[in-house]
Amino acid sequence: MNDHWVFVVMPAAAVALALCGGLVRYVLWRCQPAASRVRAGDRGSGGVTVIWRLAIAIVLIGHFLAFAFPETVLLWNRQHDRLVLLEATGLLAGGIALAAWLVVVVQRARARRGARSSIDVVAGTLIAIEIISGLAIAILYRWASSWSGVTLVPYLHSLLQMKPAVELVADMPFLVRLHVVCAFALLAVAPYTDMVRPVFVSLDRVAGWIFAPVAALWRPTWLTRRG
Amino acid sequence: MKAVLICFVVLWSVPSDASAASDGAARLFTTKCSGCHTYGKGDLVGPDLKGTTERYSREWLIAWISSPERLIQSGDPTATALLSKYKIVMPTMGLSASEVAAVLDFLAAGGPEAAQARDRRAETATKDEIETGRSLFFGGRPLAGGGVACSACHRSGGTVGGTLGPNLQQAYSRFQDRALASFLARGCFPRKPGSAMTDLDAFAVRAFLRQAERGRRTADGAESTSAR
Repeated sequence: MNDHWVFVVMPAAAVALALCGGLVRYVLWRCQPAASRVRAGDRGSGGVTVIWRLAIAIVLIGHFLAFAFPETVLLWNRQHDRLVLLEATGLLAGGIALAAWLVVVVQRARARRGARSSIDVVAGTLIAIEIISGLAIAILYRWASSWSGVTLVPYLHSLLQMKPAVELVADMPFLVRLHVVCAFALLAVAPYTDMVRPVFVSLDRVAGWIFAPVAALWRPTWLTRRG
Repeated sequence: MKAVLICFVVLWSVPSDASAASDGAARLFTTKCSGCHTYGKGDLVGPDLKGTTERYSREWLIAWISSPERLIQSGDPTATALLSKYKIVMPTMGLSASEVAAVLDFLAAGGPEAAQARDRRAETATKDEIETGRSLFFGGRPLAGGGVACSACHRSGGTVGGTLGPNLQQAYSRFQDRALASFLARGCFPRKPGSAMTDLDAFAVRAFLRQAERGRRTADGAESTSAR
């Protein structure tokens, strides 16, 4: 019963919260005057933030590839050298992300730049748990990119197909379950934190690129004429 | 600890649903098919059934086994070709849909050869079979069932392997053939459905585990002798 709540109800609630919260926050953000939409911190505050974003992007892309293309990842891992390369890249990126995250937290604490809301603190703590548990899994339960392909990934796919296969995750070691649960918790709270602002900025930029040609078509011709 | 170990061995030795179904299909193969067909020993009255599930689609095979005469009358080119080659119409065997499916699964999983592999002792394995087992264990060769290689979660002695599951360096001497065969057929932890090992693959892995354990013991013995 507990497993059902943790691995079925909680993920569903997390996705619902993330979608609703994300949509509402985006609309509210778009309604703000353009000048106040972007804060200095959203553009990055130095090299460490860039390193943090790069490292976490590599980790997230790795997780996405394992989720979206499990067969391809398993095929890649059939050669031991390639498996070690993939795992080492993930471990290195995770290690760099943790170090950069710690530096960013210390820098912000020293600068006392803006008091953080409690939801930001919760999200920050969840990120720390995610990175530390991920690194611990990579070290203690080697070759996660392989074994997750027949356990965690099918579990996530089963959630998407509305046929939850809880048994694929419920018997996993504590660290693995913690990693999964915290990922869903992070998904639920992320839209309510300041973390989403850079995402909104990027989203807006991409939407601008996509819709610019369409908007230009509808633009009155006298606006485009010069002289 | 000993009691837990015994419980494990007993539980693993109990035939799984999959092996019970396989036994039923093996009986069907013996009683209904083997009079006219062999598996891997050449044509008899009808064709050799080894590789038949790869040569023809499952839908076609179901239609053929359910009623060969109807398929021939419909002018199906494959059915007609079989008739002109073997000069005899295969009789309708009166199998239910589930029995046809069971027989096809049995053939796809290696037929009687696989059933023999399940009962075979690892000590009878050839060098090639042990090498196949090593390759399956470390992922050099894909498992026929499509599962992930053992080394994703396990090591065997000092070999490089995963650490999610236990080290299998003494798995063979602890559990022996019967328990290991039953255990490997059902899969060692809840995972993607349909990714359990076939009997042929499981035999090769058992043979490799036995060989690896013996090799290590020999090496340890040689080391201690030279130390003296």
